[in-house]
Amino acid sequence: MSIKDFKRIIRSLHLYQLALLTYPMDVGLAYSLLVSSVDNLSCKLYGSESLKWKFVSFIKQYLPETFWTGFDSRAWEEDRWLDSITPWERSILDSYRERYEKDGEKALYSLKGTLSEDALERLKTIFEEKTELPKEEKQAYDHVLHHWYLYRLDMKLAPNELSDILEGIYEEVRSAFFHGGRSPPRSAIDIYETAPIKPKFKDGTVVWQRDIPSFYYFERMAHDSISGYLFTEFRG
Amino acid sequence: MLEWETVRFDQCSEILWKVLQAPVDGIEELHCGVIYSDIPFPKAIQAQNNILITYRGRIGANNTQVHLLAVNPPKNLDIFLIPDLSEALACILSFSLRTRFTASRNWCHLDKDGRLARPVDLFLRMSSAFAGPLSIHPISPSGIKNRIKTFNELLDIL
Repeated sequence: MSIKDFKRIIRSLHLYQLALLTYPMDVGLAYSLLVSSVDNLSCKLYGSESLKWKFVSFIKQYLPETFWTGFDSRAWEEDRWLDSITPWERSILDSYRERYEKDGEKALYSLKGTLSEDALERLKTIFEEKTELPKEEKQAYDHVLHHWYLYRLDMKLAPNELSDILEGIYEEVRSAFFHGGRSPPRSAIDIYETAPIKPKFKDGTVVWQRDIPSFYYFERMAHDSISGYLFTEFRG
Repeated sequence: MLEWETVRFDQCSEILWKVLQAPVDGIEELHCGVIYSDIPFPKAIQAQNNILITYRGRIGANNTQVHLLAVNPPKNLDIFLIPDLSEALACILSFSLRTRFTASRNWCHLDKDGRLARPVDLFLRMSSAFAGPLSIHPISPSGIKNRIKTFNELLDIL
């Protein structure tokens, strides 16, 4: 790695660090600093396109597949912390097991929109064979059952929405804050990684529109794409 | 302890200064950076792929206590040959751990010229105001205690 590359990366990480530090003081500033952190790397990579185009292209290029398949990192962190401080083991899965033994498949009805068909079948097999899940898998099931509402389609982004959402972040959060002095919308301060779809009035009709992702959701997006860039470009 | 001279800055309180000056068992064996933190880490933390941060206990006097985290940076990383290493390391740690690390020079051990005495012996600190995981859920130990305390107080009132 050249000194020039190193300084560029450290500048980007410094902006990321400042975003985390300033979050308790001003969410708009913190959010905009995260955008700048990505901007710092993306502006050197592409030709003479607009900064917004470069920002969107950078994240789309380097965001790893695990971003879409991974758990909500804030909720996961919370669960692991609770696991580490509580002497008792959380028993959501056990409670479903008891209900399954009593009511059969009806007990799993509420999970149909949350877990895939394969996952439900696997859960049934586990309950019927009375086997215990491996620890990691049990943690994952517990987590999804605990925070099922975070994994609904109306709470998480889909890959085909990424471009529009990133453009929205650049214009409605970053530019609005830096150039217009406006704070980001309420959805930016959720405690988990969410980007809910909400009904909005537009020209007398109701339009379903996805809100700006929460700071934590975009933090993971920025973190994962910068990590992807470092991993791709500077791997040993 | 390796050779260095320390400078006390205005913001460093008398009590904390005494704590920082106290001999710490095992530090001389580390040959690595030491971070002062307000929260303990129960387990070793993997930062990036080859930087390991381990919890080394705590030191303190009176009501002031700090937790020691030791980071052993690999010597083959050229980033550690860069000036302003403490700031750079704070950035890297913030990014790696996704938490709020600072490297305020007020808390670094510096020589008389204001430079770090040795590149590998640096002192960082997690600011108490911003320390802890990123979530605003109170999931740092102090936060959890406060929440439980508040809950118990609520039960008492009821």
